[in-house]
Amino acid sequence: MGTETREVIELFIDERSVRVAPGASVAAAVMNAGKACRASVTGERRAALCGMGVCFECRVEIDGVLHERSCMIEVSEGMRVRTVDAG
Amino acid sequence: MRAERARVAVVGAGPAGIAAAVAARSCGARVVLLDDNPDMGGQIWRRVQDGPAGEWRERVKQSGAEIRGGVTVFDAEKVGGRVRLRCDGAAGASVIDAERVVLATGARELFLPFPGWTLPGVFGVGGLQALVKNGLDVRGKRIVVGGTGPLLLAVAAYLSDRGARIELIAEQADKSRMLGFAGAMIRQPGKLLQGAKLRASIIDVEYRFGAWIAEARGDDRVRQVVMSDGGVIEVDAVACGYGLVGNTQLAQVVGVGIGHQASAIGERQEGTRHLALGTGEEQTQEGIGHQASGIWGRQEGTGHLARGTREDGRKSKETRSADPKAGAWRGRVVVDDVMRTSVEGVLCAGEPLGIGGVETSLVEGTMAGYTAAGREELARGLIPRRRRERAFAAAMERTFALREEVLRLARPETIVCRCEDVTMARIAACDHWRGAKLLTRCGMGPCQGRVCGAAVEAMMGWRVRDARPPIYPVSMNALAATGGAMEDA
Repeated sequence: MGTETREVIELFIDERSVRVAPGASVAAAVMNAGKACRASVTGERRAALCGMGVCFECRVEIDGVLHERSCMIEVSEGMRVRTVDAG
Repeated sequence: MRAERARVAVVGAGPAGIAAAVAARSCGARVVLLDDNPDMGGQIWRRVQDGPAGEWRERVKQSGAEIRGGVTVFDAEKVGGRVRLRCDGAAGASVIDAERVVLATGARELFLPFPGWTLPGVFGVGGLQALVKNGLDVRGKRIVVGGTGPLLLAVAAYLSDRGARIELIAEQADKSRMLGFAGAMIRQPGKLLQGAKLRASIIDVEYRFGAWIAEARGDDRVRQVVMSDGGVIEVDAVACGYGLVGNTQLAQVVGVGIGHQASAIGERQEGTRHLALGTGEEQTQEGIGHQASGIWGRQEGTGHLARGTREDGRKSKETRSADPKAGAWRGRVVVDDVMRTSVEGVLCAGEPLGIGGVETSLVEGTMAGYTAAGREELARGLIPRRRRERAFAAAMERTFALREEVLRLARPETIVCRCEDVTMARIAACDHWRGAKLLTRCGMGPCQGRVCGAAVEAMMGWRVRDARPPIYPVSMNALAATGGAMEDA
């Protein structure tokens, strides 16, 4: 992360607390946590491909809303994210 | 919902859109600048604050243009002499009725399917850079960068700077082509210097020409790549992209003409309206005239069914675009010499006109902004500069033309449509895009064919030109609130 800041955002990915720098995308937070994003229609694990809101591979559930493009959404304090790797 | 009015609305806040907003504001027009990203800059200036990016950011902030991030424009339509934009976003749905709209919708990456490309850890080249800019950690990661174009070097240098270990840069173009390109760049010393600096920053990384990623292997994520010469490299991530394709969806739904000629400005005469070039089938205008084609959709170009059932009985002549390798399959918005499209009030600038890069986008954006504000003569003054930039872009496109082998990497079982998990074999069994959609659901998922459509267009030579509103998935609330798409039912 290029931005030197002491501020940290805490969010929850599959119920586990994750701390990231503000301004990060949810996709970055998810993949930094070693997770993939969604299950394809035949059940394959998929993660971000295009990084710019085009491919829809990085879809996750955010605060109860399904199919959110995680690369287009910034992390926010207390956010709850659910991925394909949720237990 | 009350429609907000604007003199000029600019869709897309990358270099072209920013330049358009600045130019239109300098002529006194009220301008709204929209982007679906939270922050402006587009892809190329994502999180870049210094240099020209910083200067243009500052310029547009000072210009008095109203800048709105996080707004997705999902439909554009001519209504009562104005252009109606239907929007959705975090701030809710909205409608903007603009006298003039500048489409500065940028480009996306072209992905060519290869075995294993759906594994987590396989990214686009620009895709991985965007993710890292937004916080993805690549420190210590072993990465192979492959595909084609100048982006490979730029991204490899960036990733290396962020702590990644670049194992290899694989450029599919042969070295002989690159040398010819370097010759053409002598007239662009700035760009040559830029390239040399990037190369110097990662001089210890092998930059292999005539090489490509043939396969990715892994389990829960990518672990290895197999190169075109059979060599196997252990990796933690792969960045793979085969150049860019312009985003023409919004242009298509508003009924703008899409052509197929390679960006020939600089080689062909400027000053004639391109619309009038009409040199044959490949210049045929599609989709002019809103809602002219009856029940099948708004445009003639919507699909084969539409074309086949026209009253005049004109048969669909096209199922194939021009030679995929030459890049002519990429559909381009057709504009006149001051950036007006075939639909009155709709202008276009930058990558949707053919991939041109930052400088081209800035010039064309400025021209579009002037024209949109009614100062066409100012736009005309920039025609020579535009011609120079476009000539460079055309040389680049020839250099990085796709080789046959990279269009044939997908095996029968390789997934091509990632949204609907449709394999190459199922698509290859069809005759054209429309048929593939109907029979396999290829291109029918949430990305609406942005990924597989471009790939299929390149691999199969089929013409894929069927955007329809809403061009992004939106909530029923947004559709209802904006009156969007319901009239098509």
